[in-house]
Amino acid sequence: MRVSTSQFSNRMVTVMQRQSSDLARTFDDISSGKRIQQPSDDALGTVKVQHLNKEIASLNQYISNVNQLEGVLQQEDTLLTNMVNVVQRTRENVLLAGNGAFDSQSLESLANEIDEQIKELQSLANYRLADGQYMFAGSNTLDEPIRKNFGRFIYGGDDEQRMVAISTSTKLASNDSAHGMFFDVGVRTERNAGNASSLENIALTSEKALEDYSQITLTYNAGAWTAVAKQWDGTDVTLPAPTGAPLDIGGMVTADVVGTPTTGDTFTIENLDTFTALSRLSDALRSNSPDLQQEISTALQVIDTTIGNLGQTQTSVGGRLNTLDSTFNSHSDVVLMDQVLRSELEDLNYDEAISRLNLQQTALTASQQAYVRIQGLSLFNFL
Amino acid sequence: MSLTDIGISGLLAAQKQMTVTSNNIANVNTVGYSRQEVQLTSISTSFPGAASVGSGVLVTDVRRLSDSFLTGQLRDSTSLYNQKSTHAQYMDQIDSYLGNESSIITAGLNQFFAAANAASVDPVSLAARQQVISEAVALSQRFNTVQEQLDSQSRLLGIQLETAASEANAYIHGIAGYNKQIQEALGNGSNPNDLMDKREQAIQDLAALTGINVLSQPDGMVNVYLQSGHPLVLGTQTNELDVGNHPVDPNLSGMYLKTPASTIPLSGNLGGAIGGLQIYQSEVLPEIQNEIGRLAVIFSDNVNRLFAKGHDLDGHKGEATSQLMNDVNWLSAVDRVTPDVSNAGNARFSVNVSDMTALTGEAFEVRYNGTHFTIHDTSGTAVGGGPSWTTLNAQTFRGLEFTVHDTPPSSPGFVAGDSFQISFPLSGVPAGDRVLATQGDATLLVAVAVDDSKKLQATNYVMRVDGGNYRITRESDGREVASGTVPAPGDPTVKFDGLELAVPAASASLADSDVYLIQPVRRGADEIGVAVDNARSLAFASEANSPGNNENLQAIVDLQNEGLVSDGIVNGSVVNGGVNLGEGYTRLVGRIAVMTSQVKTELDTSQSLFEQARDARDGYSGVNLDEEAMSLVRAEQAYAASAQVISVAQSTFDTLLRMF
Repeated sequence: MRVSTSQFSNRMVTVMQRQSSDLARTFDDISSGKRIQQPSDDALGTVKVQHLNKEIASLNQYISNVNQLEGVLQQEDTLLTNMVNVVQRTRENVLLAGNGAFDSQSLESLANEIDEQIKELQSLANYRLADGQYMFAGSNTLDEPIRKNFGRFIYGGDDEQRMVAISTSTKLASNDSAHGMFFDVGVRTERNAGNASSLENIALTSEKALEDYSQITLTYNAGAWTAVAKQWDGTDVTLPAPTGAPLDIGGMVTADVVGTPTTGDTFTIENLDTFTALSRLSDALRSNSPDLQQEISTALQVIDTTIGNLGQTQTSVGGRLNTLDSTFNSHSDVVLMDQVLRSELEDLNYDEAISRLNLQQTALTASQQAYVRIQGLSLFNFL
Repeated sequence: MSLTDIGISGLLAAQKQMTVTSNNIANVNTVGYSRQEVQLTSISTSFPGAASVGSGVLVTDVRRLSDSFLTGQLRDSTSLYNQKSTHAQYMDQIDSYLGNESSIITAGLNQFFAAANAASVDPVSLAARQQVISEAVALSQRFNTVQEQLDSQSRLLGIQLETAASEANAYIHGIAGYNKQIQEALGNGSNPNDLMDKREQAIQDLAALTGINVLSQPDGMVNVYLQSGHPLVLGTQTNELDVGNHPVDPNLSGMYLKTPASTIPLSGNLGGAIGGLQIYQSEVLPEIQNEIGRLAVIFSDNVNRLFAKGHDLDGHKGEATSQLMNDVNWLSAVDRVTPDVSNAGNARFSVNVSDMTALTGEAFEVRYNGTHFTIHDTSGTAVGGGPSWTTLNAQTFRGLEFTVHDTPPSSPGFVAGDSFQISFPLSGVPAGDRVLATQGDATLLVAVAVDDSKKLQATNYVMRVDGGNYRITRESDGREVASGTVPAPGDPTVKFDGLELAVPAASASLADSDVYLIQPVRRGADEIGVAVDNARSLAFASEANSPGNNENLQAIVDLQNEGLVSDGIVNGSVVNGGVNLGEGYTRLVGRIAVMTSQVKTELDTSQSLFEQARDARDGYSGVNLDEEAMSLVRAEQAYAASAQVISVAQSTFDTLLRMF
């Protein structure tokens, strides 16, 4: 085969260029520590790495949600423990008041103590987070949930729970409303003194609906019952006439009528809450009311239900904290595994790269030496 | 014949050989030079007899060693190599750009959804809300930056095409010039070897720019044709290459052949470096732009749809002010209704499209006089109205409808003397910008709105009107997606591939032989932006007046893993949804990476083909110094020997003379 002189140079230049670019590539690999410099180096690997990156990013976000949620729930747990303690102490006071041996002065001091405990409980239930939001107000977090209105306590929040995603499939509630703890403790009726009949077996059919009203007034007049509900702002709403046995009052409450109702019989029905029940008791203690024993038994009943509610909430919070813990662990494990996988895909094997670098260097040096030798060969040197 | 004559002929031949050899040696490094050799013939005697001998040597020709097969092979492989290397160069650039940590859309999406996720833990926190807006801005900027990068590549491609075309034209003129000189030289019997080398080099250079075929003519001239058969050089005549607008897609450059008589559009790929630029510009770039644009449109559309359902921190229903992203079809909702600065009332309402075909693109004004609403067009004519906000709420006029927020409006609501400016332009908005007239009335408004983003395809469409019928074909697979009689005003919209096409009432009608290019998502990554500026306006809550509610935000967070990006066409029908947004981008990166490594492999192959062809050509035509040294020595020896012959002739003659 005939080889022209320029061909030698061309070929050597091409070879050396290729070797230099291979060397530069290896150098890039070593200096960046990455096996994949751009997607086309390994298209499949790049796609896998991007999947892993996305998974790591979303898991890290879930982990940060878990951490934040854990803080909030731990705080809630502490507050719930405090609430239970307060209610327990109140219960002791109520039991003391019930033993009948106290004089009016002692009863008043008991009443004062109960008032303090109500305030303490209210301030716990109205707890504000560092950013000013109310913890137990459901999703209406900017309004104070427990307020006094027209002589009784009302709940200003809602009973929604805010769900926070802690994994692609799991969402956990980050809050509990004070409504479920203190405003879901029973119904209270008051009977007008002159009534010929009375109501028994009172049962709530729709607590949610009753919540909209401060009280319902039931009146018997000329053979028929009428019911008027008072809204929180003081306006009256006439409910459909209650009928049937048991008596269905506005689809909210049912009750058995005992005795023969006569015109003028009046009852008031209201949704009971812990705060109002306790403050009624304290009023009764202070005035040494004849209804004291009844108020005491109502209060005890309410306190027990409240403690039950608080315990239930605390159990649920504890359960959520456990879930958070295990979710955190599993997320951390998966992140670690993903990082290992990613590193296997995109990180450089230094041993291999260094030996490749040496090999390429040797080859380039050899080419350069060969070039110099061949360039020196010329027949003209011998003429 | 005398000894002297023979000796002189040998002397002359040896001199010629030495000259040619020195010329070869001198041109050892000249690009395109073909070595030459002296052709010798013995001179036969004029009087042949029994013991006749020849009468010396004659130089008949100085031959140029060139093989048309080898040069042809080199030419073809040069075209292929340059095409692949130009293509690979751009692919390499976009491949590393799209895979770059800082530019990838996936990272932006992850950050946006992380911010949304963080806000869902504490939806009331203004800082967390602001973070959602900031990440949305950052994500839009990522989209914009990718689009800018693609646009600048596109501009650069246009410039490079023009440069390549003018360079090619210089070679075309050069070849024609050499043709003329060679023909003249041959005509007067001289030997135009060097001119032929120069012409061959010009042809090689032209072949690097575009694929060509070369035909030699008996008169020594060559004709050069494009691969499509269009002539570039015919003897001494030339046709030029020209870059203009693409006949269908104004985003692309079109190649034309400028003959003295007319300009002919060149369809198909030209090959060579120009061909490499063409492939990248017409196949790769639009695919990336459409895919990125589609992701942007899908993101904005879904986020806005969800936000419109929710309630903001102040209890207002989503709709207008909480549209996080720019509207994917029209002016953003927040800019559609502008309450007059002197308004005493605080009522809010939004304007939406009830019937695309009835749109006029005008501006309107809504006035309230205390008892009645009136809607006026720009000329002041009343086009609608009613006695109360309930009638306003149900009001439809010129394709638009009102939705009053907060029903009934909380005090003070509408107050006598309040007025609102309504703007709803049809041009300069995404829906109008998606349609480009390539043949036909450019002022005719055709609007294409996104109807269902889950069905969007990353492709362009072409609408042709013929015989009162229209036909819309999808460019990616050439299938017809919609057809029928040309829609008259008031006819229902034409729906295809998640899009909705209408010729608004304000417009003239489509005429025969009109051609429109529809590019639903081409500018998507450019148009994406954030519309909301107040963090309070983000509608995170699913119910009014519950600021701590995060249900709507949860739905937004869930978008991250929802299959929103269509998987394409299966058996002729569009797949509804498929992969999530991040995956959609990763899929694009993967596809480009595969294309890049493929073109790199092709480049390697074409490079070794090119090197082989070059070696073969150089092996035959190139100068070898050792060989030339030997020729030189040989010629020198022949020269010395011939001189010796003359000296012998002289000494014989002297011997003869001395006898007398």
